[in-house]
This record gives sequence, C-alpha cells and structure tokens, in this order.
Amino acid sequence: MSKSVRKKPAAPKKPVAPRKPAAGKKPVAAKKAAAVKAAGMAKQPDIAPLLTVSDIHTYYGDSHVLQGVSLDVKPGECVALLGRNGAGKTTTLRSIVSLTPVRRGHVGFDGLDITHSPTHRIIREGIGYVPEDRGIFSSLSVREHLDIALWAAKKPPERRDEVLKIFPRISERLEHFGQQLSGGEQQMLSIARALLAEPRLLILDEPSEGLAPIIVDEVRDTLARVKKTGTSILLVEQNVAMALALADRVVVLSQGMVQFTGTPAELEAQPDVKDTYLGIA
Amino acid sequence: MTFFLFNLLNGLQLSMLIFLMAIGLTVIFGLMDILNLAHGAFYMAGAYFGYVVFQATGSFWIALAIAPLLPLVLGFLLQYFVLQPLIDRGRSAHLDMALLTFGLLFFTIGLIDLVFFETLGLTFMSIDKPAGLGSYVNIGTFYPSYRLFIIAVGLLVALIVWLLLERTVVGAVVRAGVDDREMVRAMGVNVYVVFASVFALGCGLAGLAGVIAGAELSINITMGVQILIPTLVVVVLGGLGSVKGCFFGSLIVGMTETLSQAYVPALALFATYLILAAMLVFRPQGFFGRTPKSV
Ligand SMILES: Nc1ncnc2c1ncn2[C@@H]1O[C@H](COP(=O)(O)OP(=O)(O)OP(=O)(O)O)[C@@H](O)[C@H]1O
Ligand SMILES: [Mg+2]
Repeated sequence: MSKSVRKKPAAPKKPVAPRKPAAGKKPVAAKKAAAVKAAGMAKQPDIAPLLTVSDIHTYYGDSHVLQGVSLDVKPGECVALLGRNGAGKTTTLRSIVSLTPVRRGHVGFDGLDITHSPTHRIIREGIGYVPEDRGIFSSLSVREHLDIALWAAKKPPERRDEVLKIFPRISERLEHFGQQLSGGEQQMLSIARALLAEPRLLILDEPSEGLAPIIVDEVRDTLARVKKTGTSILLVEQNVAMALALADRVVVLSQGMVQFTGTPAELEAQPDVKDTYLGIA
Repeated sequence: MTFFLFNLLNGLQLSMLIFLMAIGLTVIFGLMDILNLAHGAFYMAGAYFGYVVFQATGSFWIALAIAPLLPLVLGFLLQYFVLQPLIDRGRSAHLDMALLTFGLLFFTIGLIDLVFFETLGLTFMSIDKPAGLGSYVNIGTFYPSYRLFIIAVGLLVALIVWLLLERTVVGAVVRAGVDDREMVRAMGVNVYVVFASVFALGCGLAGLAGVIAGAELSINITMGVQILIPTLVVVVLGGLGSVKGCFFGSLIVGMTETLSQAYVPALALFATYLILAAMLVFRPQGFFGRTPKSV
C-alpha cells in the first residue's frame, strides 16, 4: 500500500526530506519552508522533519483559504498551530490528510509525497486524526469505534487493551453508544481511537473545545503522556495556555498565512504577535 | 377467513420481494448518498440472465445461484469506476446521481428490448418453478408453495443482512459511514472498496429478487420500473440505512398494495401514495430514520 504512494509521480523537486538525514545536511524542506525563514529560530538542522507542509494553497470553491502555508513537525516534537477563528487552522489539518484537496504546494510525511494520496492511505502511513467535532458516531458503541480502528489498522485485539489502560473512563463505557457519552468522554474516545493504530504523528483539532477546565487538564495530561512515548503531535488550539504547556514550537496562522514560527519562549517575547493574531496581550 | 389468510400471505410475499430490492437501495442511499434508480435495471439483469441460465441448464436452482452474480459484478464496476470518480470530482448532488442512474435504467431497458425482443423475438418469458415448489400446500387454504418459498427467502435475507450490519466490523463500518462518511476515511478505512462492495451486494440482492420474480411473475421490460416505484416508497417510509425500517416499510407497502386490491379495489391505485404523502408530512426521516452525521 505504501508502495503505491511512492509510485506516484513525484512532483518536481518535492521538498521532502529523506528518511535518514545525511549528516550535517540541512533538511531539504529548509529550501522552501517559509517556516524556517519566518523567524530564524533555534533549529536542529540535523533532524529531518516527520511532516513537511510546504507552501500549500487550498480553496473552498473560489475562496482562496490557505495562501501558502508552510510548517514542519520533527520526530517526537509537539507543534501547536494557533490562530483566531477562521484563520485556516482546520483547513490546514484537513489539507494534510487530504480531506480537503490541496491545489498547490506539497505535503510530505516521512519521506513520502502524500499531497494527493487518498485519506485512508495517509492515515495508514502513520497519522492519527482527531477532528474538530470529535467524529464520534452517534449510533455506534464505544467498542465498535475501537473495533473499526483496529480493523482499519490491522492491529490485534490486544492493542485495544493497551490503549484502554491510558483511558480508564473509556474502558468502563465500552457498551455505551456515542451519543450517550459526555463531551470529555467523546474527546477521549476520539484520541484513543486515533492512537490504536500507533501513529507516528497525532493531529488534533481543538481537543479542548467545549470541555470543562478540569477535563481540559485531563486531555492535556493525556497528550503529555502521548508525547513522552515519542509520538509527534500537531495540535490546533484556541486554548493558548494549554497549547503552550505542551508545545515545543508554535506556528501562528492568520488569514491563511503563517505569521510566526518559533518556540513558546520566543512567542512570549513578541507580545505584538500575541496581541495581533491571537487576541491576547 | 381463508380469503383473508390468502391475501395476507400474498401481501407478505410481495413485501419480501420488495424488501430484497429496497434493502440495497436504502443502504446505498444512506451510505453513499446515491439514489440508485438503476436498481430496477439490476433487478431486470437478474431476471433476464436468470432466464438465459435457466434455458441453458434447465435448472431453477443453478439460475438462482448464478444469475445474481451478473448484477453483483456490474454493480461493483458501476460504483467503483463510474459513480465514485464522479463523486470525487464533485458531481455528487442527489439530482446528478438520480438522473445518471435513471438514464442507465432506460438504457438497460432499451438494450434488453433490442436483444431479447427485436433480435431474438422472445415475447413471453418466464423461468419454470423448481420441482417441489410448483404446487399448492394446504395451510388452512391451498396456497402456492413457491410463494411460501419467496417469503422464506425474504425472511432469511433480512436476518443475514441484519447480522452482517449489526454483528460484524464491516457492518459497523457501514453504519459509521451512514453517520459520518468522512470520519470513516479519516480512520484509515478504504471507503472506495467498502462502498463498491456494499453497492455490489445491494445490486446482487436486486438480481436475486429478479430471478425469484421471474418464476412467479412474467419477465418483461416493464418489470424494472414496476418494482422500483414501491421500492422507492419503502426507502422513504423506512428511513435511510436502517434494516428494521426497511423491513417494516416493505411490509406496509406490500400489505397495502395487496389488501387494498383485494378489499377496496377503487383505492388500490393510490393507497400506497396516501401513506407516502402522510409520511412525508408527519415524519420525513422515516420510521427508524436517524439524523445522519456524528454527534
Ligand atoms: N466548507 C467550507 N466552505 C467554504 N468556506 C469554508 C469552509 N470551511 C471553512 N471555510 C472558510 O475558510 C476559512 C478558514 O476556516 P477554518 O475552518 O480552516 O478556520 P479555523 O482556523 O479552523 O477556525 P476555527 O477556530 O473557528 O475552527 C474561514 O474563513 C471559513 O469561513
Ligand atoms: Mg477550526
């Protein structure tokens, strides 16, 4: 399956880094990635990114929503993608997994050009996707959610027990239907389901949305544990405090363009960025 | 009393025939948003190919086993290579799909007419009932055993489809897809294969209904449109993608058509439509209709 992804005619000069970085060589992505140019922040040039988004343009009909977004996520890294309502955060995530097609630019994952691969292939390459609305099926039981994920990822049933250890509240509700779960439980199920396939990159779209503060903390702690296992995370959030607590790097988006890339500390040092693009001083 | 029992069984028999058609149509509509009006063509493909196989082998049972494979394969090809690529290119409006499959239905009717009537000159065609199912059994009234067979097939298929949908992972994928198709893709499921397989199974069941009907009713070029209309009513009554709804919808339509014809013939022509209209006004999502989309 991954073979056929590779077979796809490679876009000319695809800005995708090799699986094993050549020693001392800068990531190929650096050539194009505006992310690198953006602030010239502390980079580890010898680590090839796991995910490379280079200069993508995405449209809804005629409306030009993403106007050249570039970012990357390195192995084990947590990158927070921040921005106000309508900035294009969800569209960026949907573009990465091909739920919304990219019109120009490239998306690379672990050395593969996945720009135009079908969504299920991208997911099977090792990306877990937790969507904005959590994507819980109202008429399926919790167990069935996990069964489908196991089936799609071709994992043995034991994998479910492993993941459920991290989500005790879900394991008590296996026979409940999606619509019977609380918001927090739905969010946990959505994350658990994405983790079943042992993704190398977990993509989350506002996991804290609509949750009580105490549940937000629970989600944050869960993600911190996921990060500790070496899984890379790309996190979209409106809850800046939660995002900064987890992130190694921050990308700020506004009107479909990257306005800032840097570490949380560097963001703190630029109150004007926070003020203009995030609405916090 | 025996007259009533006789009509009740007739109604049940018609209901089961309609169910075999409607179950595919409703699951396909619920899962893929395709109103497959070509379903009538797959019914005809089953009946006519069943006739050909029956003529070649002389066996009803071989025809019953082999003929549904033609609509099954054709259905897979149609969905995988024609409809899905159109959907991917944004041609997914209900009207687009309905018009395309409607055209396909009439193309099939024309093609069958050309081959079987214009070329081969066949007019009155039917498949012989198998030995043992050709006579009557006494169950309080003398009733054709073949019609009891139709009832049994319908009940058996309903049970199998229900088990497949409710008790297997692939069934869970289909139900999930009715809720939120996009999320199923985002879980790494190859929906193209799932969709085409479900489409194919639905068409295969339509073909099965065609073979079965070919031994009870006559095989002719209007049969596809004739069965399609009550089938569409069932889809509306039952709600999308629900086996239970489809089953009870089929019972209502089959019984209404049969009993109104037996007792109030003046009503027979539009009794079903009265129910349809009432349903659309008071409960447009159907008896067991769910609001699609994830929570
Ligand atoms: N399906 C759609 N059709 C047309 N325009 C859309 C669609 N989805 C989003 N948009 C527009 O694209 C822009 C970016 O939307 P997007 O959902 O990516 O923003 P976001 O940063 O995720 O916002 P939020 O924080 O509210 O979730 C917005 O202007 C939005 O109105
Ligand atoms: Mg969003």
